[in-house]
Amino acid sequence: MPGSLRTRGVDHAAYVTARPAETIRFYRDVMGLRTPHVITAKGWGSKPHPDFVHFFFDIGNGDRLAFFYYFGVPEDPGAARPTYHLALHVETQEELLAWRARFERLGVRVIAQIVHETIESIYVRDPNGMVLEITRPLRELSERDEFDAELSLAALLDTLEEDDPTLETFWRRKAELVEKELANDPEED
Amino acid sequence: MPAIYVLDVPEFAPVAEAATGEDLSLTRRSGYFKVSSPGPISVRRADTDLVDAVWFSALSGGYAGALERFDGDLIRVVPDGR
Repeated sequence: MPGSLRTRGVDHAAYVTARPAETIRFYRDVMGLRTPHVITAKGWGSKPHPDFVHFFFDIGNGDRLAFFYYFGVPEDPGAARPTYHLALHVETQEELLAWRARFERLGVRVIAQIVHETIESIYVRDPNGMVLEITRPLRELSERDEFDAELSLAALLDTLEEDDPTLETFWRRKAELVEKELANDPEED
Repeated sequence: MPAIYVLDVPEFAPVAEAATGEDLSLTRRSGYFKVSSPGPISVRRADTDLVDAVWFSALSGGYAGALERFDGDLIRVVPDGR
């Protein structure tokens, strides 16, 4: 990112809900999140849903999760479940397990608990079908991780130039980029 | 020549340590392990203690050669053209 121009975390992530009551009960009552802000507006939303309530939940660290509810727009029974997900951060395994216990005590099914490379997560679905992940770090990310990530994105961009990009092509290109770095730094650690 | 590159971080290091192959060479520099061999390189899941997320990402550092097999039990990289 150039110079001192930086974003500072999530102000709010906004989604649309056709199940506002269930959404309020899930985030406010099951999760216990505060509701620092609600906006209502008449005739300002785009057709066919001009009237809306936009409500916000405090997800910590000054960040907010927000939903739009549009009056008069029924739930689309054929709508696909969201394929994206949102991950909320906790610091410790004790906190992670406490969230798991809270969900289970209040009747929310925990879909999975997974140890990833650098995080451990639990997963539930919110009333809108969005997967909500709660995750804790297993270790701090380092400059080494970031350097490797930069090589990975460069390898991906190169791979996308191919007619039929595959993960194998990506991995082979990544190896070439890593090999270049090794050639530039021949000293053993 | 087949090679596997492994980011030198705690969760991925076992991939490099578990690699086997004829005349295997292991170097560690610039933040990466490089495992190379004139012949096939294998990593058996049973020789590691890796969770699924790490195992199925084990080649994220890249490989040279041809990926002959990658499943829940074994990764095998062989010379190109075999």
